[in-house]
Amino acid sequence: MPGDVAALELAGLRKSYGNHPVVQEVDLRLPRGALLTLLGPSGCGKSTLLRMIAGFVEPSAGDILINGRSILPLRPERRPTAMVFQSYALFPHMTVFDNVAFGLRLRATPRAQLGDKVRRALALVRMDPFEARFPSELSGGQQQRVALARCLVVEPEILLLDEPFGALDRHLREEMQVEMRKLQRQLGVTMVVVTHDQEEALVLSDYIAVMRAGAIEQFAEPIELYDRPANRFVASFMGVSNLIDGTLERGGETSFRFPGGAALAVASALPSGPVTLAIRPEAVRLCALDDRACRLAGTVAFTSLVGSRLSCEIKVDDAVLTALIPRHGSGPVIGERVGLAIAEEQLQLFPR
Amino acid sequence: MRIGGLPWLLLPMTVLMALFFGAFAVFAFVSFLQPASGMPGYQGPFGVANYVRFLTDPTALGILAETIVFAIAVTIVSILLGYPLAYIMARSPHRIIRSLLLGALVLTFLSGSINRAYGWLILLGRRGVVNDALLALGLVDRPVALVYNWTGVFIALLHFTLPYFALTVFGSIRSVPAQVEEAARDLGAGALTTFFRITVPITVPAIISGAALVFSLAISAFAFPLLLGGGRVRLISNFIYDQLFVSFNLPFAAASSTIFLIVAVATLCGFFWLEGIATRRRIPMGGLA
Repeated sequence: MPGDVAALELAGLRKSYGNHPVVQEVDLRLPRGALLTLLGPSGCGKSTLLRMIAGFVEPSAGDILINGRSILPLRPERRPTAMVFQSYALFPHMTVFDNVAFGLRLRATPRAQLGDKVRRALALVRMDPFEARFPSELSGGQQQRVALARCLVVEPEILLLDEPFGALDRHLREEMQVEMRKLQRQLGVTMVVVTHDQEEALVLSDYIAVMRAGAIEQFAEPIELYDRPANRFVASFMGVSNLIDGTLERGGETSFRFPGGAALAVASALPSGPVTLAIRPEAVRLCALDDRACRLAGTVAFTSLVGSRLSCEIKVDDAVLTALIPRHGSGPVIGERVGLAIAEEQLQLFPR
Repeated sequence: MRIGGLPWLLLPMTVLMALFFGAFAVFAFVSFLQPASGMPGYQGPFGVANYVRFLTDPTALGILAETIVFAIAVTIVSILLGYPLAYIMARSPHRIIRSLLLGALVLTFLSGSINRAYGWLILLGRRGVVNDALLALGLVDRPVALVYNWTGVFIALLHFTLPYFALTVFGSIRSVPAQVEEAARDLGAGALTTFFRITVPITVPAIISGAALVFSLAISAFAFPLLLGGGRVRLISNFIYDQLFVSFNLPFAAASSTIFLIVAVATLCGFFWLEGIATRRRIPMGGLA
């Protein structure tokens, strides 16, 4: 991407209300046709960031560039962006057709092309049979498709989506995520999606920006973010549920000391001192105590069924590790002593 | 959903309504009788003479027509002034502006009609505040007649009806989600286009309700024409009053009232019919297809 003009560039973007910073020093470059997800807990500033791009919130400092040109002087209606709102915000007094035609009519689209364009956009989201309906006569998923068509039809440079699947039930949400991603690939439209759901971010994105307290904690591709979270916060947000505070000791062999005494040999460039060990539950395996792969020993404290897999809480001295293991046979018994095998490349240490 | 005791629960309401509408029935009955000569009463024979008299009397018909035109004018100006007022109240980012406007409107509700009428006399009279100001500014060289004519009645009545209209549409504008207006902006509509193509159409049902309310208040205005009309402004209520307490012609007053009531109810039905058209298909009708 370097040298290229980014489809969207945020440069030193900031927003504060009074003394309270909501977005601080956001720098980001997004190539054309990519889908970026702003991921973070509620109140992290991700929606404010999106609304700044759309033009509904004025930044306190910094710049927003689309295709290399600042859009800050432009009012929302002049910006080459279109937004799908969390509530869909369809116009209740207009039919589906008129909702989608709204943006085109404002652009003085000739009558002959108008009907064609609207129907093509509705066909993209498979809503063409519903053009005469009113929004109140549609289900949530259908309303969302119309909201999407209404934005696509005006051919924005950047399509913005604010928690687009938040109001849908789980099944429909997963279906719409895949559909949205396919559509985005097919049309090659640059998109920015706001969500608090890490699974959704992984399904949708080319790039993910994890946000906390108004700042970007990590900007990376989904695989990188999943495998190598930059810090404890990102790790925890990306579903790394084993986060154990201990000590890194450097002697003849570098090892992580669990609270309570157990030691695990690790490779790390960090200096010795307090660190947090991070490992996904699915990267922890159970093995026989005399197995050579066995790196640690612990006692099974609790087990629960998670579909095809078994979640086991293993007490290692004073710490508890969760292992998500394939279910076969009777599985471990509570109180049983088991060995733990941990894939070295899946283990991370963060300084505390 | 039928509850066993429901018919009994309806009884008190039925009695109350029967009493109210019983008065109308007596009134309607009297309208078919004749005045008793020389005293405020009525006697036979039974007939439609009072109605014929009203409908063939150019003065009476003129007053009815003037009342309707006047009420329509008040309604239109109430909409034109009240809607922007309500919009500012509903959408102003400044809480102080919202509270001030809302407070001012509620205050007019709390002050009586007579108080307000005299208030307008002080403001609009020949030696009133407004004329003094106009003279002092040199905008006019003689006091302008602002009261004891249609202008004074119109201003006072408008002041009376404006809060009803503004508060009716205020709630409706408030309930238009800000995101819907933002969506219009986002798709390329300027602030004015958004106002006229999104906000106003969505709130049309409330505009019609508010207009119906203002119209029924204006068409039945009595005190303002009496106090501020200077004898020159006679609306239908004043006409009926004169028949009752000046001419002591109770049956003719009853017939005039009945005709007035029919016209008013018919107009209101027109308003509700319009409202029905405006709200059609917007509210989900039961399940989804």
